[in-house]
Amino acid sequence: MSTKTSIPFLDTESAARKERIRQLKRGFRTFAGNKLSLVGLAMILTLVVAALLAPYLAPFPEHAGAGVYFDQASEPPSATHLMGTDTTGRDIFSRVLFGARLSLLMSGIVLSIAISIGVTLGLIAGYLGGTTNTVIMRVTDIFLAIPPTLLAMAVVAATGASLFNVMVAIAFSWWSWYARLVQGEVLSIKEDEFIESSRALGSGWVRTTFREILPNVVSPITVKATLDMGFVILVGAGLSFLGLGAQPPTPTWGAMIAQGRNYVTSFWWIAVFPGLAISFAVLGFNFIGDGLRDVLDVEVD
Amino acid sequence: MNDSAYTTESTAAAQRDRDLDDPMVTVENLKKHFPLFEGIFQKKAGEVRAVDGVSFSIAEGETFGLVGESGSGKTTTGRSMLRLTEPTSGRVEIDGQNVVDLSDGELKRFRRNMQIVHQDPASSLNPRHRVKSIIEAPLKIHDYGDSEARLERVEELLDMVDLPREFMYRYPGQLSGGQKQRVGIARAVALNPKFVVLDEPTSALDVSVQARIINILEEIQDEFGITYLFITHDLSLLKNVADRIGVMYLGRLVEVGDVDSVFGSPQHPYSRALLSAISTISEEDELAKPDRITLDGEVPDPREKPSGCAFRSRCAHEFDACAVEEPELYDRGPDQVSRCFLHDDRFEEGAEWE
Repeated sequence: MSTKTSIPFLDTESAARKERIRQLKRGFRTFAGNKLSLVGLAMILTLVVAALLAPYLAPFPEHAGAGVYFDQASEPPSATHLMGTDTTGRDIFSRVLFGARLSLLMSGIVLSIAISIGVTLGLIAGYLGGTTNTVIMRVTDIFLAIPPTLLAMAVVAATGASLFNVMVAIAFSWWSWYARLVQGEVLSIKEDEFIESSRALGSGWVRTTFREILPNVVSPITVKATLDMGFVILVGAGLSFLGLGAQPPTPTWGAMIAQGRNYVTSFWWIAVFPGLAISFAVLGFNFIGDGLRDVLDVEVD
Repeated sequence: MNDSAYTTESTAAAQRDRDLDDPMVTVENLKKHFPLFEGIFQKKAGEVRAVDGVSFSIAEGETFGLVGESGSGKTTTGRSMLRLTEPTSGRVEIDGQNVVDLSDGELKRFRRNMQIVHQDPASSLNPRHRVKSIIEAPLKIHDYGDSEARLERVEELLDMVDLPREFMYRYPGQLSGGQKQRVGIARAVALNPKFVVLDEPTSALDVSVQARIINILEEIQDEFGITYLFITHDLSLLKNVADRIGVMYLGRLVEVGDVDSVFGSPQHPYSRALLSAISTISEEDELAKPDRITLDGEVPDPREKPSGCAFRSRCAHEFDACAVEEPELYDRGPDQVSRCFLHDDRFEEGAEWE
């Protein structure tokens, strides 16, 4: 019963990679088992392609800016203008495509900042425990108690309205969720024997938290981040609707809705299409997030 | 507290053994007490004396078997010796260095000399790391060569524990229990430690795999002269593995001796009970072991140990003196001590105890 032959060989790095790919495929099958997550994936891929290729896909790329084309103002959807034009005659479809760029970019940057802060603090609090944990988690609680939109509004009100300030503001109010999530995970992983093994080898707490614990909390972070992509887009749109985000003529979805809200009864397309774009993005990320949750909750065997 | 009197005596007895003139590991009066808290204000309500004054020595290249039931404090002893849990008091000298005195930084550096193999290989390996990076971890932490030298060392270690080199690209989830434990052993001996604590290294494994793991451990010991502390609840395992044996009961060593003496003529009633419970196959072995002694009841609650001799609540030979004070360790042979009043001439109860 030689153990050497009882398991198929993984002779080389490349065989190990093949094994890894096999696992990924199995994971994808679980993911695809839920039809909605496939739909979500398709939606987000569409969105990403739209964002990346906006200058090429947009029929009127120059309309992303501050053009004024009164000869075609407020035209309803047609073959030339798929989503109609706004009150200054700009092609809404083109602006929605460029808006996808801004939304994804903003959401990505916000979450990168929020995750960096939150995960680091959560790891430290959970692993070190004691007073460090108390201090970090109480601060986290305070941030959790304030609605992100409200906190972001306060920050923007204080620092001035701009896309950059909005991103910093949302990130600042968003990290606390990750700190709480990671701290909870660390508390349970900390009890595993491999943490003591790591200590017994002589590694300090920095190595133990970031090399041993962090890889084990990546799954929940990934799921949460995917779900959050949609929510951050929503909050960002809300802030730019209120005029706190990127300033006109930057084509953010929120600002476009704000611009069209006075004409909803007469020129409904001005506000409705950017609104649909927001729903599209939020739904897509939620579907993917749910699918990922199914895949990653499964023990990686 | 007259503990120290017993301790010096036991150390003195141990020192008589010629191999122990210059031991690799010396434990003196090691204690680990866990405080107990109670109520919403977490008032200290007492303590569990998990390890309560344990002393023994291990000669270089030898295996000391520490045996006892669950709750006897054997694992806590091993962990305190490596300061994976901070001992309450005592001395632990490894290769001439008192480990208890080391500062945090010194301790981290010193850990290359002392390692541990955990009981459950499934949880002692990080499921997110490949075998290569698991075995490489101690090398990286203690700055062992460049990446090429480390890779070479990992291959060497895999050879040593008889795993195919290709396994370094696997994750622990792709290995069997025995294979995982071999990875754990490779990691523990990666830096050529002087001393390794084996905390029930085989009890989570199939019987068929246990023997292989023991063989690997012995091969490594023979080749590199590593000193082992072998912690187990399975006394029969120690017969072939250990050079000397310590029997623990409720945080105290009740009998210490070389393996032949303890198996040949166990002195303490508790050791006899443990030995009588070993299942044997050959008739010869069956006749050689003491008649089956069934212990009454459970191990007492460690928060409320019996007065005097902790074992008296389950001992068939209990008499008046046992409740009054705890017996010291009595010399029972060239390298054998036992903590029982039956060995004391003052009491006639010991007369029929050979």
